[in-house]
Amino acid sequence: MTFNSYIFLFVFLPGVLAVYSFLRETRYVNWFLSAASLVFYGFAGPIYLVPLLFTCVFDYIIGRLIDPDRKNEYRKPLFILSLVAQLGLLATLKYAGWLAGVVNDAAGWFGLAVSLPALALILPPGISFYTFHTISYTADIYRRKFKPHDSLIDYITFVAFFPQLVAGPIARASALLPQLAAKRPPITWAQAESATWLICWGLYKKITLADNLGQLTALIGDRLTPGDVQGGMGLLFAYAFAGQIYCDFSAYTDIARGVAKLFNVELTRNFATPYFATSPSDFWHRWHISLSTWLRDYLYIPLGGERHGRIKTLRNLAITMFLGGLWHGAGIGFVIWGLYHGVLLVAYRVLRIEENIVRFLGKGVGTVVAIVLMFHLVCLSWIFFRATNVQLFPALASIGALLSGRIMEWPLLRDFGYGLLLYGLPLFLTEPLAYRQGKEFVDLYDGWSWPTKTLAYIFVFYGVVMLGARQQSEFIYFRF
Amino acid sequence: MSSFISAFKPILVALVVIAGFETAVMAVRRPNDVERSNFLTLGYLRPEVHRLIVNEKLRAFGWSSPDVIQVGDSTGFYGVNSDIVTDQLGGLRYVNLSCCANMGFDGYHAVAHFMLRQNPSIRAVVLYISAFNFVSMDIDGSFAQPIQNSFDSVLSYVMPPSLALREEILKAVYGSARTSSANPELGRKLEFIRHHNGWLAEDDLRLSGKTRDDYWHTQCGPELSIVWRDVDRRLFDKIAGLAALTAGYNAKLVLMVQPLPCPFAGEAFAAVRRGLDRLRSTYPNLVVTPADVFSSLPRDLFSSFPHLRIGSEITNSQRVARAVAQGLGQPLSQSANAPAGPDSTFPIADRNTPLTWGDDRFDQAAWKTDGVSIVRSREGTRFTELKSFGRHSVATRVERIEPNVAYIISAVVKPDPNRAIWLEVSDATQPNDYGRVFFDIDAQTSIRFGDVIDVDIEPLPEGWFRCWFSMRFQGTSIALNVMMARKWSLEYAGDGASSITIRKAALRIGARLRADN
Repeated sequence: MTFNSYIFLFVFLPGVLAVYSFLRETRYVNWFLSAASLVFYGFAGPIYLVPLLFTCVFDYIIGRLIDPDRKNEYRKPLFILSLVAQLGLLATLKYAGWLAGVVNDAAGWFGLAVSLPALALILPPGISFYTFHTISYTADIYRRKFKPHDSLIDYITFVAFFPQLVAGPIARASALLPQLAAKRPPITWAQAESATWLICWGLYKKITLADNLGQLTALIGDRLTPGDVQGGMGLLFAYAFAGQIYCDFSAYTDIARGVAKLFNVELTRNFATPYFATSPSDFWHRWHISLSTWLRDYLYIPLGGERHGRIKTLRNLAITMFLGGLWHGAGIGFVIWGLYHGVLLVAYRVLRIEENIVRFLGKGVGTVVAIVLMFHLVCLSWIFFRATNVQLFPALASIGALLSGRIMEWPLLRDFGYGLLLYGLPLFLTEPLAYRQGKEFVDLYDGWSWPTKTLAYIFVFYGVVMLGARQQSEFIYFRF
Repeated sequence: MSSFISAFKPILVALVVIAGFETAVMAVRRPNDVERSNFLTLGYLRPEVHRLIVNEKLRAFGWSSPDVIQVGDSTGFYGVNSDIVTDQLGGLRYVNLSCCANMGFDGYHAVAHFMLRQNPSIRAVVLYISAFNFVSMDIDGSFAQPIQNSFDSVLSYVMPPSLALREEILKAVYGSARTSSANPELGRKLEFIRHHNGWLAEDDLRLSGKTRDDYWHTQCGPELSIVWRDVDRRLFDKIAGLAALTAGYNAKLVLMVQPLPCPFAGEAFAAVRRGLDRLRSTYPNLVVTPADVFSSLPRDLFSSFPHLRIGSEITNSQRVARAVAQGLGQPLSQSANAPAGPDSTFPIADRNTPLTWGDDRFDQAAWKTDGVSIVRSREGTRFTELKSFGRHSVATRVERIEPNVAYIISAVVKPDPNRAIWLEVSDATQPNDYGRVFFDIDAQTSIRFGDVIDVDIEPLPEGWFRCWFSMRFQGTSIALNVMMARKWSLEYAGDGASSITIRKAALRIGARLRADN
């Protein structure tokens, strides 16, 4: 069940809200919310509930056992056991088949007759997200920053809370669990209206922008063939995918925030006009914020962060980004994508690229140039993220061809360029507004007059009715 | 309450504005349920074929009060000519709503239900399917759910009327050449479908020679016979669902199965027979002759495993008419055994019909060359492409054409291995009437466009091939163009060496395929 499906919008969500309102003040409310979340998740396949429930129950028990108040001498081994179990489950389900394939292929190149069995395991949707939810819980308890929770049901509600279960934002137990465990007052009409806007804007971005840009990305991708390198085609591919993934993922976050708000739960923001970043570090403060802060707090800092000199800092950055890439999925493209971002972080830090641009060109022009440069560096990374093995080299070669002055055939440039302009236009118009105010566009809504809000709803409605993609597609991050 | 209104004022006002606009569109445009649906994807630069066909059929025939409708896959789409069935049923109107296997049985069900709701005149629903469904119903890329959502669910009642404006708006926004319906060839097919009560003349890629032989061995196996042992029992549930649906509207369900191109063997038949007998005892409105389920016809009558070749649909349509007449207790018309009318017959290649026009003097003034040099030899005329960019062709004009008579246009050729040939004919007085065929002699395949009826490549001795196609014209004068092609490209920079040799180009009146052929 996806947020953009009829069954979610017109059956599941209204039904859950109605029962929730009825049970809100009773102690059964989280029984109901956790059950509803499991139903939501089980729609993808009841078998997926097995690893989810294992994760919940296992870390709930570990959390209780490593409670600092219990003075358990096995706290560290138990915490390590939790990490091994959770990461082992994630690795087995997500990477085992891929790794076996890589090893077999590599052995084949060297003429070795190695043949690891290729495990064809089902990958539960969103397993990377809920694994990080639970790790944050046990890690915070282990670091004595959070107390274990008494109620297993509250804990399951936290891990499986359906608005954020499948694609985040990655919730910290310290932020979400207390909200869910407390008796929540009913939301006000104003909150409900604000939540409605988040959901509507998210649906518009998903159905009208992301899905159409996704189809355009696929069309452009079809032209990335080894025998027919068209100068600049890879760049158009990257632009289209940059738009698609941003609209897709931020749409999911907007809807998740809006839905959670209907239950009087605040989820963390995940984006802040990321394509206006001036440096890699700035980008990761604006893109998938819940992941980058999670990686910072639970990986980069435990690795030593910036505490042990320049070389180790750079090493820690590279390791963190490599694992961040791998978190996204089993594939060499994700590994390269993560490493590439690690290299960018290191290069910007060592060469002080952003500062030098601003110093050389002045603050105004320098900032614009830094933004454009960073945007294109990010776009380049999206090629590794999205391109298939067959498309990757033609995409890069087409950018090389462009740099040497060869440009694609005019009809292709005209048609693909127009599509990009058409479905990128709402972003070109809304993102600068948000950037200037230091917010996300969706959050500017509260400051608008009611006629402007009315126009926004009419725009969104007809934007979806007339231009929305009709072939429903999953959110990209469901795969991770 | 006041806080609710205050908070939701923007949404409430937006809803009022939207409702006002939608009401205005409903009042002015009066869209029907098909126009007011979300069914067409209309994606940017994304051609769609099957959805456009289903949509067009429902738009054109959804409220046409037919007596008998047909649903099912492409076997019946190509294989049953509605006009012939209507003629045979003595005027009971037959509409062919079949499209394609990826509609799925739920899609057939949704279309039948939609039609039964809108047309109380319907007395029978013909489910025309491939025999393969009895063995496996698994299909890829099914769009049954969009059909159900759009035409057979509660959602179809709440679609905003402004959806009827969507196609026009998208054409304006995208540019008409970038919409999913921008393909002019598809436009012609849709027009044909409208004109022929839902039937489309077979237009498969034509396989010839060894390619055709290999194809049949791949499809039917080395022994050229089909052995099916297991039965996919899900099919019986689907048929039962349709039988129950039609019974609810006091209509018959006539189950028709496409003949197979190879003889059948295996245990599946007995199981199918038992299953169908059980269904007939439960649903008295189900009409089926189990013995017909796995019948076969000669392979020459097929263009591919699932499809009858053009011309073969005549006898097949008569077979359908007989079954429907039997089911409805309706006598067949007097013309039932006579050849079908002229508009329902198509020519087949026949070198014994009178020669209308023929020419082998391509170096004469009557022929205009473009991008080729000509050398005449004893065996034929050799066209060698020049190095210039553009077309590489010869063209002439043929007069005294008899309108509305099907002609066979042929050329006897011997191309270089890396070159293909396009034959193109356009009506000199009707610019929109044209036919164009791509003959890939290496691959032994041909693809037709425009008004071309049938096509084939026939091998002749000493490496020659007779490439022919058949077509009708409205006017009395035509332009004939013989073009060289590199892969698909009509326009390309020649290499100055590649060539084709042509022995003769000719026009003959086509021989009509009679009902008893």
